[in-house]
Amino acid sequence: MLTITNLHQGYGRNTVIEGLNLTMGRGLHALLGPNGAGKSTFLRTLATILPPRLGQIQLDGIELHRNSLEQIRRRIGYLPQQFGFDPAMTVSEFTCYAAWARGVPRPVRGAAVEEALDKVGLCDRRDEKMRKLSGGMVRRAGIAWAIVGNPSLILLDEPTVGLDPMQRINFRSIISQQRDAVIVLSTHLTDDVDAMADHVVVLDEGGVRFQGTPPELAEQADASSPGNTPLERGYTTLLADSQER
Amino acid sequence: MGVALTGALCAVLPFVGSIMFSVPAAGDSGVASVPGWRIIAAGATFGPVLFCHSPFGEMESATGRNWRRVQLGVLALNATACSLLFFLTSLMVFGGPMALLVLRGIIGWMGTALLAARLLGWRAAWVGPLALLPIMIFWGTEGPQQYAWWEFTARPIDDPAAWVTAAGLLALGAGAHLVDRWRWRAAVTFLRRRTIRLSRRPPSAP
Amino acid sequence: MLLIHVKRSPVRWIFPVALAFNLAMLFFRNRYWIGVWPETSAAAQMPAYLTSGLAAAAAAWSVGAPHRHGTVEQKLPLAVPRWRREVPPVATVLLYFVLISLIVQAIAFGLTLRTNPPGIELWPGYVVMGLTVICLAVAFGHVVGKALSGRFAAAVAGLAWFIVSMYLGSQWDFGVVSGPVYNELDTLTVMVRLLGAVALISLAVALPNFLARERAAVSRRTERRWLRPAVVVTVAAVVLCAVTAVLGSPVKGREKPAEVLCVGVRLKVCMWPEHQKYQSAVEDIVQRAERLPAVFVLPGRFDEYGVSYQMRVVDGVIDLTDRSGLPPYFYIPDGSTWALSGTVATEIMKVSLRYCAKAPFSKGEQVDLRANETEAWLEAFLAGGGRPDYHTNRSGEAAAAARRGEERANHGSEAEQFAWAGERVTEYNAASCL
Repeated sequence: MLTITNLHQGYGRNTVIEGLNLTMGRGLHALLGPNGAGKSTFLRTLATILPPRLGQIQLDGIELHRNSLEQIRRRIGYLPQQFGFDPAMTVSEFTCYAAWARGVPRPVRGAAVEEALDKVGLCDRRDEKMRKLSGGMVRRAGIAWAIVGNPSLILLDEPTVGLDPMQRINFRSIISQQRDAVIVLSTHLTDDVDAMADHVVVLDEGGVRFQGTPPELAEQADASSPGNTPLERGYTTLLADSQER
Repeated sequence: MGVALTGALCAVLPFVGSIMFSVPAAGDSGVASVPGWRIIAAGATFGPVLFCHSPFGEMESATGRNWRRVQLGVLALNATACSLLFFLTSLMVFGGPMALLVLRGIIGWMGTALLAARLLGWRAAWVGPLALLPIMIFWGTEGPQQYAWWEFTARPIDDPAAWVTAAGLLALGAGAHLVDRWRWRAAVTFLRRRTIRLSRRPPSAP
Repeated sequence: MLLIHVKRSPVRWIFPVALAFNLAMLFFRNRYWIGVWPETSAAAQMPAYLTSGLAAAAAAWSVGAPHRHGTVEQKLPLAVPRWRREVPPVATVLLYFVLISLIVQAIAFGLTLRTNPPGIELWPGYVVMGLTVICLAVAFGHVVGKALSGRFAAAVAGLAWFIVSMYLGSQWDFGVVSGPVYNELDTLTVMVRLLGAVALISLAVALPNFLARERAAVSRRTERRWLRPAVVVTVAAVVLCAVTAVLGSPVKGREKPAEVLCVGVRLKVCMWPEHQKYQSAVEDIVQRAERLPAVFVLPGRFDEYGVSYQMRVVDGVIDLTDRSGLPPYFYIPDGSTWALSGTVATEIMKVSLRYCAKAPFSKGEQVDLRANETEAWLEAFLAGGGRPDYHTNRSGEAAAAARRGEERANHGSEAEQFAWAGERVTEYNAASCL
């Protein structure tokens, strides 16, 4: 369970998140919002890269920014939008590095790597060099990086960007298996939300504009709102409302 | 940025340039006495060559001839500016004959850096001069004030072999950059066709 | 984790090239070091000293890997602190270069072991010295890699270390060009230096990234995680560096040996026992000297440098004063027995020829030149013929006279040569001073 209370965040004089309150249980939470809404900043704060200006974040009752970083970070898996890799490493070495750096103990590290590779379907590619993988496979390896060691909070920043439709379907099925953790996935693609999210949070102008399930977001739709799907129309209606205000 | 790096080396030159270091050598005495400027001169080429590294990678290789011309133009301009800057600083610090020695050294080092850049990429161009430097010092020094014919950084200023070596290295380095993938393929195709044509030529009448 | 880095580090491509380069430096030069323990390890240490610039560059290159690979952001929230994540790459660079140095040392060791001369206790000091230089280079490269942007870091680290190492080598004896038997390395100083170098690597790893763009991306709390280890290793490094400075150069003159290796009867030449490999060459010289005609008077004894008296080092220089009553000394620098034959020839000429005691110390230009020619002959004859393996600053007629003397030693029978030389000595002694 992730509980966020009165979170304020920003860079210098700019305030990006203001008084955000959220509670997220196990399952996949899609973070929707226009560019500049503060999705990435929010994820970086949850990842403990940025300390909050004000407010509290609790993961399973443990406060993120007040306890030992090493202990907290063992429970967090983070995949930024732009992630990199050592091209000389193999897929299993890349994942093993993540396991080691997340503090997975040596006796169980091998098993944790195998499990992560199995989940993302890269077991048969474990000895392949990262530089030889296709874009979709690199993404899958990235997910393995984020989920290895079974963290209880998985943060994925725009993970489907640049994937073709088939790869996105694969990705959705991989993520759908990770239901034991709180998964926060930032995106601006409503089909992804529709296909895999249990909950949706719409961020705009530093605050939560909406929190609920995808069908509840679709219900927000106005007949005149643009969009191809009910969810898209619900989303655009919300944004149009906030712009009017 | 490249000029800034050379500028920093120029700032160091008056302080380190005249220091004589005792370094192991393969010659009879087993020791080479190396002045600081001989080492710093190798670094004067790093700035312009490393500056050519760009993060665009593949995107650049797909661009046309104009971009490549601009890149080579910038390299030539940067290299000339850096060499001139280092030469003038040497002229002020050590005087004419020594500055010419420095200039000859830079010519050779530039060729080495360009060659390394062609083989290993712009970013690893430093490998060339940095690997050649110990070779020059260790095997190039044959005795007190005696150097191998190819030692282009230390032999007397009127030594033609040293000038030829330095110029040859520069030509080799610059030439390596003219051989791109397309030209190489064209050359191979040309040679292959020529070989086939020669082999098909009917034997001349007795 | 270290194994993954060892398998994937780009240094693995440098490894065979650097190893070949190091071995070439060991073998494509004078091989006098084979058969003398301190010379063996000093010669094998020397390539490490010269190629440590590559180690510094590799360390700077490796610390910049997250920037090159674009992994900075994803590594920020990892549980293992940054300084611990830096350990495997820096250890990899260290491992490869230490391995190169140890392989070179092992090969050199094997070659000397075949003759198994005495003095093996003088061998480890220079090995440690070489390892210290590599550790210092890696620490230096790591710090430069953190301080500069990726593009220039490796180049600057390599070049700057080249200059720094030569300075340290020349001024502080961090590297040596040879390991003569009359010197030894102070174990405490050498070990403290190695520990200091390791502490400096730890300090380099514990230091935060100096790059502004990296600092901006990290929370203050994340950054503070380096503070405690950094303070500990800073204190350790400062203490070790201070102790190193106080201890000074590790190169010290050895105590007079309890037992010396002497050859000859009429002419006795005594050497360091570690120079056992030169015994037969020295015996040859002594036998030739003992065969000389009676006009040549043999001084009783020659000692190798440091054998017959306690050497004192004053301000880093071996004190040569107060040698009254002691036999003349000779060196075998870089394995050259010509140095011994030269010294013996000079001393024989001193006691055999009646040199002029008063200014202008001459019997006329031609007579003096003929004496020079005789001395050159004697030197070449004692050496067994051939040409000297050193350069002199003689020029003009003096050089021509010396060349004539050397030529004579290479032509004609021994009896003819002795007759000629005896005539020359008699002729010189008969001439009167100006």
